Amino acid sequence: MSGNRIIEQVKIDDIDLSDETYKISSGKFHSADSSENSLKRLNSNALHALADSIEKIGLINLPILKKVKDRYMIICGFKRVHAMKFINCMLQTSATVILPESAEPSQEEKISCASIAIADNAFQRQLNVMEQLRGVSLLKEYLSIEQIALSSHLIFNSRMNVAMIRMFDELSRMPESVHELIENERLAMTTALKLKECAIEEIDSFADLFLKIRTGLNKQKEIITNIIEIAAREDISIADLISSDDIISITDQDDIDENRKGNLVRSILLQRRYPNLSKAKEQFAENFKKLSMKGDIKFDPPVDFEGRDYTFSFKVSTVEELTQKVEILSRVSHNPLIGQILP
Amino acid sequence: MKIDTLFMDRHLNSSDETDYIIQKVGLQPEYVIDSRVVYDHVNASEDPVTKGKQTLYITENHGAVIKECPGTSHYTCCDYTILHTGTFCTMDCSYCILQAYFHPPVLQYFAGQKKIFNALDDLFAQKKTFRVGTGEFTDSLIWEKLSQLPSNLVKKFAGQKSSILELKTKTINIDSLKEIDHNQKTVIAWSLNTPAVIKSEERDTASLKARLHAAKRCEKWGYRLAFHFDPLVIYDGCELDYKEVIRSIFADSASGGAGILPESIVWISLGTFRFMPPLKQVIEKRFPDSRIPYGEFITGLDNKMRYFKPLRIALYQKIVSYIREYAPAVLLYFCMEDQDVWEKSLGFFPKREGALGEILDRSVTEKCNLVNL
Repeated sequence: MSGNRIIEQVKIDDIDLSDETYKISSGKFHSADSSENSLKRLNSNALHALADSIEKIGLINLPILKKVKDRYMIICGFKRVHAMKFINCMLQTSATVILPESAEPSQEEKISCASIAIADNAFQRQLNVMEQLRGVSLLKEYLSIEQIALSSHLIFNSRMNVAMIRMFDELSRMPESVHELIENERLAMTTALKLKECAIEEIDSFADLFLKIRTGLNKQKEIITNIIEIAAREDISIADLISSDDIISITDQDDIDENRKGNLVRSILLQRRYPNLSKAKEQFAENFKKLSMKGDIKFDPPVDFEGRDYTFSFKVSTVEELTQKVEILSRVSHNPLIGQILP
Repeated sequence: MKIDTLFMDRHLNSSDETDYIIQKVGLQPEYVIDSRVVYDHVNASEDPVTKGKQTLYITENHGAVIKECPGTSHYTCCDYTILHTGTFCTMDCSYCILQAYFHPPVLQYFAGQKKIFNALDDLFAQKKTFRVGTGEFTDSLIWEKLSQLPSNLVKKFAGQKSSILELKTKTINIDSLKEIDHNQKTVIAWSLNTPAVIKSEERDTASLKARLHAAKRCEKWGYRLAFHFDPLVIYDGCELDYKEVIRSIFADSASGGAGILPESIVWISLGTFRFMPPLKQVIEKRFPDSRIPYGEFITGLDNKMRYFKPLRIALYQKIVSYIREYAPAVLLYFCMEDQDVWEKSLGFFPKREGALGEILDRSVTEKCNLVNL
């Protein structure tokens, strides 16, 4: 651990709120414009609540700052410092200050600051996916994946293996649109990784789509795979496919909920990816209806019509029910339509 | 692909055979005690498959020299016999299962013709018909430029009457086969495809025209021929493209064809593209422009991805009709297909286990003058 630390009184105005180098937690506190108007755009409810608490009860955990020339950058305690900005009569605060060892911070100092920034959060609560991702991204500037894995339990309060860190590293290099989807739980992490080979504009198209639909992990993967493959096979761009009438007519509808939109989009894509198979399944379903097989008898084709075995299945609990089912099957066996279905 | 690294198993004694290969490759071998050195060399590359095609390892076969073709479950197989003389290939086809079959994929030449010939003697002594091929885990004739084994095998088979050798290839490496008294006991077989597929999916292979020209030369030398339409790839307009390939086989030279005589052909096999799921990622990574993995595939009964069956049948029906126009009597068969496909495309199904093998045996018995004992 590098850097001398002292506790001192720091003017709040001397703390650089714009430098979020070591911020790993979610939520925007600062925009590029640090004027009074932009402060109003902050997540003010949460900060007001924290500000009230600090004003009345006091600051419980000191923020950790690093002295940079005559200003201070925040290492951990972004929320606390921003909250204190709201307290009108609070002009200064106690803080733990890391003093610089030299004019230019060393590699060791940077690693130390990054570790503190992550650990401060990780040892208070479980980090969410994006926080872990930002933490890995921060450390990756100075350490190898293997080095991060070795010390992960000390920094992240949980052991991460190399594969996991590699995954976070890959995700961290994806566009912001993907990060937002992950943060808002609209896209699973492993699904997002399927997009890593796509161009930026393609990823943005996917992001637009997943903002409008909601599906589970496996269906997300299927949707992405089918879009990529349809686009490749039909030699069209992913953006054009996602913005095609078929898809837009579903995603832009206001009166369908996101889950239903997800299912409808999935269905459209399956039909387009597997047109002949989809048609065969529809035809089978139509034929099944025409057979009018009452009595809860299931009639299933071979999976994807590859094998030769069709299956009739039903349950019976009395001899009477069995007789009834047998009669239905006998009637079906004389229906000319069954000759068209079975080989 | 050019071989740029040569390894040789230190346990192998130098011989005329190994000296010949080393001289032909034109590289000094690195002698290794453990094959792991070779595997590590290949695996260290970012693209081990490509590296494996550029790295030749001369070693001996520590396993069975002769084995039954693994075939597949749930679909009819032809009871082929594999003569295991080497692994992998210097050509680079996107759909090649060998990319995902070997871990890592390494170009291996199994030296020790004595061991191979002893195994063949044992096979011949059974006095049963065997259809033996060297083209299952490698291309039979990529070795023709480096080794005398292909021509020596032709001579070996010429000296018996119960079995045939099939040399299956996408090359035109046939020069050393010209002057051999093969006694019609060797079938030279070419894998064929449309020019579009050859261009996009079969890197470093001979053109269709060149393959058919080579086939005609072999026919003139008295060899029996075979053609394998495998994999058949479904794409828009593929039927007409395959029709043209078939025309090219049989039409005379005045019409721009190779003029192959139907009676020279022992069989033509048909098989649509099928693959184990892990191959898809390999294709996407090594051949990112290939569209071949994006056909309408379903999971087959043997867990291989196959085209949706009605699509397979539709293509097979067309191809069978195209072939029948020129060669109504030539033996056609399917590689790894089911009853529906057989019945709807060829009008019959060799249901009994071994039935397909017997049909193929009859064809070679007649065309290659085998003696059944």
